[in-house]
Amino acid sequence: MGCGMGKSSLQEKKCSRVSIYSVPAIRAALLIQRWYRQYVARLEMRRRCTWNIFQSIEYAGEQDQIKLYSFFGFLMDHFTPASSERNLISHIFHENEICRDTEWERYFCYKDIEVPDSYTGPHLTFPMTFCGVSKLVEAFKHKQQLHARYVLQILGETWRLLRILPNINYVSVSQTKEITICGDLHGQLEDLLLIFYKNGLPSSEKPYIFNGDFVDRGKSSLEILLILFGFLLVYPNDLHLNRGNHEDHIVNLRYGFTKEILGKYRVHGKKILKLLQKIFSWLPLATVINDKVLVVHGGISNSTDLCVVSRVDRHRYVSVLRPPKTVHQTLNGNKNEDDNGPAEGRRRVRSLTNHSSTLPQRNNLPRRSLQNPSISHQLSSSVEDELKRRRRLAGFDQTYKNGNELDSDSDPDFAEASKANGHDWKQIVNLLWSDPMPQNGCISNEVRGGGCYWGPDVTEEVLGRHNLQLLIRSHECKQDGYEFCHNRRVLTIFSASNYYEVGSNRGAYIRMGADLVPHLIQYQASRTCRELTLRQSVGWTERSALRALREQLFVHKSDLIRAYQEFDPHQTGKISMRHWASATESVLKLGLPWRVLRSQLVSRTHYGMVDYQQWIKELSITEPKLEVSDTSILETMYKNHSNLETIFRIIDTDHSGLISLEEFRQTWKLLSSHLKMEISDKAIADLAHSIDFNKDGSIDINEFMEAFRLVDLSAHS
Amino acid sequence: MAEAGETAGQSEFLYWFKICLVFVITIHLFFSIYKLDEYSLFVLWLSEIQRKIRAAFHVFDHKADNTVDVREVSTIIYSLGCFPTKADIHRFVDEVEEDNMGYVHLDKFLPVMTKVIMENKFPPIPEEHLRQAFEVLDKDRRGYMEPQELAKYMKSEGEAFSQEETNEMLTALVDEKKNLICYKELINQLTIDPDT
Repeated sequence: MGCGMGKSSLQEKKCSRVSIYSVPAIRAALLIQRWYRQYVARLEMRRRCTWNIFQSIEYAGEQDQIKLYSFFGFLMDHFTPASSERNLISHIFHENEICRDTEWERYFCYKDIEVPDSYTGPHLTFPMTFCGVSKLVEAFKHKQQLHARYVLQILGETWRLLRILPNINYVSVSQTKEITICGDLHGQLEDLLLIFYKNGLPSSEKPYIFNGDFVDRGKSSLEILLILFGFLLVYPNDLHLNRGNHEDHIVNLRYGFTKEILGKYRVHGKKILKLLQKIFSWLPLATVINDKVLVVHGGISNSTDLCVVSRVDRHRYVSVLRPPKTVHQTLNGNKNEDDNGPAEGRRRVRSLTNHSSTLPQRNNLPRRSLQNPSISHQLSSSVEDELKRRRRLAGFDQTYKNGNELDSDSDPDFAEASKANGHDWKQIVNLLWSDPMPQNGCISNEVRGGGCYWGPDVTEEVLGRHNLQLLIRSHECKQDGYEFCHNRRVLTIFSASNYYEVGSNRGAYIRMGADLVPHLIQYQASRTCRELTLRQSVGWTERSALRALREQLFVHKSDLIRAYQEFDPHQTGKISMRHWASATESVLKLGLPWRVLRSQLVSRTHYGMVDYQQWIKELSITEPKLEVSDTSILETMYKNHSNLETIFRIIDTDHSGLISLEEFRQTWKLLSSHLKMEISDKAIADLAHSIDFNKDGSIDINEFMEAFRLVDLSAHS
Repeated sequence: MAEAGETAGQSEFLYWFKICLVFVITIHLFFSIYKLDEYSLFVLWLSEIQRKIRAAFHVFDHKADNTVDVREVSTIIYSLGCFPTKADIHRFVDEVEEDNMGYVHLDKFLPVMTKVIMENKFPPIPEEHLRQAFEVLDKDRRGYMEPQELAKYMKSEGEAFSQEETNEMLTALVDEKKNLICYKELINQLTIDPDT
């Protein structure tokens, strides 16, 4: 009674806690929330499965590429110089020709190239200015193409500038000067333009770091390069580029950059490609911010040593896929080479990766070994010493931490230099190709075929050793455009949105100030006018992934049928879902959850059994537009579509897009060696006859590849 | 008269009794011919459920060591066709999480999840109930709601949505042209669940 006031105020408080909505309303809300969360979770599950599909196929492709390149390396090492096959491909290994830069400069000279009056694209003046680059950006926005003269001019200037940059750029940020870090762009100009729109163009007040993989896959790789190089020329202290694994002409042969250049510049494409080769080799390898944050494209390994990295001759590694020639001269010159036979040599050539004694626990990953870790122990002691030395050279030895240990060896100078080369090369490969993994340790990255998988303990050790606090890297596509791992000590940043398909993922970039705390900004370049709803984007991406998966299933038709028949001894034509899943995985080796995918791939089942013969027939992929009598060679064609194209482009030395009939035959011979298959001359001749020859008896590579491209009939979206 | 009625009733009873007997015998024969007793049927059903659970679990098992991050558990449960509330999920996670380590092992997950499915602990929401729920909030029963109306409820009532969840929901449910949430149509479209 005395606390009348108190009571009412208490009651008031009580009222404010009780909802103003009725009980039915609360219950209704609860129901709707529950329903909606379930709906979102189901979509998330589908999105996750779709993601796995794309990623598996992508990595399998990368593995394929490295295998092919390793095969070429094998040819180089083991065939006699007179062998015709070797001759076809030897030129791609002549990267370190002793040619002086001045001679190259003459070759790349743009001055004789006339710009016709009919040219409607942008005109550039040198030295480059901010206005000039902005004009260039605008022009590219309007889909104009820069004339070859200006392209060569920009590239020439860039090359000259890059040669004086160090391997590792040291930059600093302050209260007034924040830095922006972008990840993979992969030729997607819309994403770069979106970043510039949201964040502003590069300038001395707005420094940028671009962390590699500017090219391949997307259609505007060259435009992106020209814009980045343009800004580099204007603001050399505020625009930093790191080399990525796709800044590599061998990778470009497969993933579309070479094709893009040759398509856009028919006359000068070859020169542009050669100049780009040099530019890529001169790109810096890493950037360090305020001595505390390391930015590198791929990642690290347990042997990463920035002191070693800063001292390497980075331009000698034109392609990072293969160690420089001097290493092989040492290895091949040794008398024990023959004792171990070709297999040993092959192992060394393929050894792009870090070898560790930790046994990998990742049983479900596709394990296509490029290397057999066991080395014979039945050798005499002198040979064993030799082996040890060579192993250390190729980087197998785990205790080999830094270059100083070289001096302790009593070997002659030449061998020492080669040892250093092998070690240097390994450092670079690891920086550009590695991926983080959740478990501790450091094992070879057999999924991609290059670099290593490194664990949280390695992160701690390497960051600690260099007194760093954060590692920023790219190289892996992430659904949200970024992802932290290893206790937030590693940040992956990926800037190509809709990478696998429209709606598959967002892109992101980082803003970082003096506090060195990364702030993430996400975006998604929308090809349609409005944003797709969650369900639409998941559906779209899913359809695309399933299409890609159906293609893979189709090209492995005969292998699949053989595998299914093993589970069907009575030849009923049907097998259980469980057997279907395990047989499919054994053939495709993609590590996908086939049981979960089954309902989307196999439309009808009878009492839980899959009618595999019928199903394979129904995969409804079109047959090629040409008549070919030998169907087995067709299947080889489909399975090795990318390999074939890569070999064609390598053989096409003058980059004309045309190869002769004889070269065509040689390509098939090469491919059959690589696959260890018999392909009869008759089959090849048949194939050749089915193609339209140009008047001079040559074959257009693009036309040929198009004719055999698979088209999924069921894709009517 | 009464007698006739009784006889008629009796013969009807006998008739149905015979039908049932035949039915039971047929089933029994069926089971014995196909060696399907109750127990093996049960085992078949159980193994199918467990296969589904394992398959869903493995989608999130990134390390390939039979563990998943505890935050993914709700997605897995939902994807298996269950409709738990957030409170249900908390209880579930309490049962299966490894001592606050942040991950869940398949060995603990599997039995608990199997029980959930077999006992149908988190049954799906019938379309009718969902429609009624919307109609409670849409007092005038117009068949649609303004986006902000629904957002208001979702953010403040029940197991409230975060701002992000609300934004996502609006993107998913709002009809662009009308700027309304036409729930009647949505319920039809979105409750069709593809069998996994």
